[in-house]
Amino acid sequence: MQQRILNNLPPEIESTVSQLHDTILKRSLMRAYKNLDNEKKAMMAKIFNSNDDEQKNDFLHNYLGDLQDIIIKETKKITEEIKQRTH
Amino acid sequence: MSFEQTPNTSNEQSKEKPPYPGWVLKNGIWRNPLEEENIKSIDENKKDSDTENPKIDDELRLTEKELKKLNNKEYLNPGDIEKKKDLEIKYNSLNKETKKESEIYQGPEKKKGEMDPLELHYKWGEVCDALKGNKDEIKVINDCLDKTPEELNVYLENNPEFSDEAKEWIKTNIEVEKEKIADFKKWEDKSVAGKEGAKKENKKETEKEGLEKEVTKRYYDELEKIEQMPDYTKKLKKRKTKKCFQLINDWKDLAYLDDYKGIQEIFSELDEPKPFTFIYNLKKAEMIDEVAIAMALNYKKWDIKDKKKLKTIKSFVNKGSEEKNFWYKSDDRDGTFKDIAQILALKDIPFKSSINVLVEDIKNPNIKSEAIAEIFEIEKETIEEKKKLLKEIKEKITEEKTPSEEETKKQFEKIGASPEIMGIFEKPELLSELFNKGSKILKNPEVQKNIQELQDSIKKATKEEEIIPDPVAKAAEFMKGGGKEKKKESLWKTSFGVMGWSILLFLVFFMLAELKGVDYLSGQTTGKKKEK
Repeated sequence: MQQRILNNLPPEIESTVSQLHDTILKRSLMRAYKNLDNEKKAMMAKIFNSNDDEQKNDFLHNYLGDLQDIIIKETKKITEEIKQRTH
Repeated sequence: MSFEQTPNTSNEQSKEKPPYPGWVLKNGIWRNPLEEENIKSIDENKKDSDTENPKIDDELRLTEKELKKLNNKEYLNPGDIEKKKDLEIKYNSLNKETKKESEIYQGPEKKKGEMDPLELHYKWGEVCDALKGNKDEIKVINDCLDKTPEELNVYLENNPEFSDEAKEWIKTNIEVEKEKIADFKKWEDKSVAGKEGAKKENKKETEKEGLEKEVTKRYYDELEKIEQMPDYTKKLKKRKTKKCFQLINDWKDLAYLDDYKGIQEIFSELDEPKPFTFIYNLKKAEMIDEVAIAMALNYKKWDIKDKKKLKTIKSFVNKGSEEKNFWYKSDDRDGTFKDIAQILALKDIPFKSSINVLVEDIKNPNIKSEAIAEIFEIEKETIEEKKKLLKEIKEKITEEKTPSEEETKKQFEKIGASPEIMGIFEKPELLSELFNKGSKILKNPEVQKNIQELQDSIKKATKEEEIIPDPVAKAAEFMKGGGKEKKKESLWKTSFGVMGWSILLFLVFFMLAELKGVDYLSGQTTGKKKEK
């Protein structure tokens, strides 16, 4: 369904929305990553270099549990910034 | 002219149980090997003594010979079958006569209570009956069977009703008979266990059928309740729709039990309240897709003819695309047919005259060729690979769920969506139109100017301020579904799916609000009402 929404957007909007979406995700993950200690950072590097999707999921849930809140905050922050720049 | 030929099963191992332990099937007739030996010995005695009844005996031999001849035939015609029946009856009757003759021959008059070896031997045959209950009748035999050789000696010596010959016979044959009985008991236990196992299986099957009927009945009861729900306000309409979606979701995996009639009734019920929200249309499209895929996944469990199954699938999917739902148009329908074809191929359903019937309905030539190529690839996969692919499809269905309107609104509120963005939910037709005619709208110079400004702002706002470490970049890729399988469509998988969905939708609405796209469509920007 998500892909269906993107596919049905005019190309100009689709690429902009995808770009925004990517940035929000990366920034949120970056914030969550910074909160991890060195041991967990090393663990994350090892797991996300592997092919084990289950371990990746487990890591996201166990050590980046507050990611959802971070994503919401990042979305709010970035859209407000855009608004300020546009108006 | 040809005769009806029946395979001759007389030489195959019989599945019937022997009438007595140790009896064997010879030429299609159950026989006691010892009895045969006895008859042979009687026969030999007869030859010596000149007291035999040669007429019966010769006839018996002749009948047996004819029976053997018939039994050696590979195929029997109706005449052979009839003849075989007659011969068997004749053989049994002659056999009885021979027994009587041989009993008569046994000579000296028996004393009261005395058992001769032949009589005793016949009695052994009744042991199996005795084991089932009637022990008094052959108590003597049971007494013999229960004893050790030493005990048996004492027992026989203390029972004057046995002749010396009978005593000798018992001593010689008791162990053999014990073995036969043990074998029979094993066979009987196995047979009983088998029967009980089959009974249990049948019971399980009946219980399962009962449960399935009960479940289907409950779903129908629930549907009846939904049908009676009032829908004269927007809120009530939404409540009713939510219940319909819930019931479709709960029922879809067992709906093959009533040939998807109930679930199609819910879809008709859904058309009544139609709350006209953005999420409603998306959710309905998702539901059409999911039910169609459930039809494919449960294809083999669905107990009707293939032709009827394919007809039901086709009619359901086509009906879904005929409605004016922006999110379920011709290409979406083609996509559903492609997915179904893929699932059926993974389930080894033949392409010719089955999958092909669905592929033929795909109108978009690109989707059609993709579907055929996929099926071609699937046919080359191993069983394990097919299973893996099916599992992935099932997982994808569970992952990709459009959240409810309430959930989405809650997320929007958390993000701090403006009343303008929140209001977009209430204008699904305008939104659909925007998606439909987006490119045309963007050609408007005023909108083009807006989009340019917005894109510049976004570019500045999304400019990376710091270097993204490798684990973060990889985690982002994984969450977007671009891990080891680049083909995955889901934008944000795992349980962040709902969150990703809401964010995506929010961003689309945000863009629209910033571009004044909805205002443009409703004519508010130009001061004119949009022409229909």
